[in-house]
Amino acid sequence: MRTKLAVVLAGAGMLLAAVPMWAHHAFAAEFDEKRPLKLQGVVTKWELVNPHSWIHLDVKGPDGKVTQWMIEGGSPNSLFRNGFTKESLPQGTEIIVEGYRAKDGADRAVGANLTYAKDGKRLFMGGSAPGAGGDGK
Amino acid sequence: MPQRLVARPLLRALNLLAAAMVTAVLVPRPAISQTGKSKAAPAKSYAVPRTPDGQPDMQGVWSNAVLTPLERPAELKDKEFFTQEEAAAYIKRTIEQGNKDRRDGSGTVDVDRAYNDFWWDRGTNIVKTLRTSLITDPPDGRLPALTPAAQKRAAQVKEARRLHPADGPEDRPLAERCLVLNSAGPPMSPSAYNNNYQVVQTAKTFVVWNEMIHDARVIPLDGRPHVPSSIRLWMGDSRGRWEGDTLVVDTTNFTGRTPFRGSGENLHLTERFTRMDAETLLYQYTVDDPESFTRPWSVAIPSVRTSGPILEYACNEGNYGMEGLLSAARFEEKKKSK
Repeated sequence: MRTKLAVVLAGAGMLLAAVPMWAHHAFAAEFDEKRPLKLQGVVTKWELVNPHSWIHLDVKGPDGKVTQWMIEGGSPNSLFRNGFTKESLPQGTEIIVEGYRAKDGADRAVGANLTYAKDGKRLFMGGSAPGAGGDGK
Repeated sequence: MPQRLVARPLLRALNLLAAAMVTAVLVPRPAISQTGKSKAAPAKSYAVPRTPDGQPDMQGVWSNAVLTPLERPAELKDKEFFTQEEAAAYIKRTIEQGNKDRRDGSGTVDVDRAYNDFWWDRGTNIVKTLRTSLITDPPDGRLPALTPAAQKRAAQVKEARRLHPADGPEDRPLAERCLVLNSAGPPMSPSAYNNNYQVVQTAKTFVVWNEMIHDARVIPLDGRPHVPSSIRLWMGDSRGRWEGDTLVVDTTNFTGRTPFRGSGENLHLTERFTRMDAETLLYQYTVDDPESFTRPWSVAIPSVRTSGPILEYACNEGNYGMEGLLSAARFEEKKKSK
């Protein structure tokens, strides 16, 4: 369905001015557009705190060394209203994060795209998240 | 609130399917003011509920989550209202646009977009009137031009931020510091999330408790004057009065540190709350600030009843972002000094 809609959108043209993004802070002040990254790791904790939630991720490097990353996400208030709870992203879930690294070089990033490592499905979408109560659940 | 724990894709799908049919039935267009200045009144068949002391009862939790933009998109030119079909198409496109796995655009755009729509809670419908903008006046649905003085002020703020982007937290916007958040107002605006507010009334006060950073604005109704002009407040000084079944709230004594679309410290904001039906509290406001805008302008948002509750938003406690961006600024400074 998404592919089909994308085609419709491509033709829709004029009303596709970017949806005004309002966020709590300017992401560009914290994260570096010149340092895009892709991480695969195992969720160790999901801090559901306002104004932004943080996913903690253990990422194993090529040398076998494990680095602890923190990935910034949206407000728990909106997640909860959309049907997601702490159980939606349990410890041990392996995910892939595409995003941008913190400007100061710390092991923190903002997650632009988040997918499950096992099947490449988007996190939280289409009922693929445990507890989301979506399609087929 | 287990009844709310329904996956969003399902809600979206239902909404998309139902949009045309629902809007066709629910459009109360004649009841809502066309200019924002004329008086709003509920349908004659609707008996406005009363509090024990006889005020129109507006208590409850209301949502401003709506996809209608503040300004009419320039492409729509003089189109003031959508047809049913156009409304359904607009809703569908807007939701899909926000929800796409988008990695297009420059790195700057991509970083600022941050993440997909599943993190947000913008609402899934447009205003029931099918108006193409929240602005009802001027008739073109667009913000009036800023005065030269307001343009100069905005340029000065921008320059100050360029010179001192983040020496300390004080250089950052009040919202980033979790002090006041723009959408809570006054005036209140639809935002990406936390769009809910709860009204609590007593005989002498009207309280608006906004989920966005949990500000409770206590508005006196007892006719007391505004505080002296020497006293300035980030959220201004609000006084309420009943005009028929509409609550009119005048707010003055702003500081200029919470500019709303370019407004200044002498903004005179007039808000109007009117019960339209069991599910709708019409929220209107007029921005009157001749120092900043070349003419006054008005907005109408039909707030929709929601089951609530208002959720906690402990912003400062978890504001790791502030630490991150200050650390980023120090890093950049070190890099430049090398």
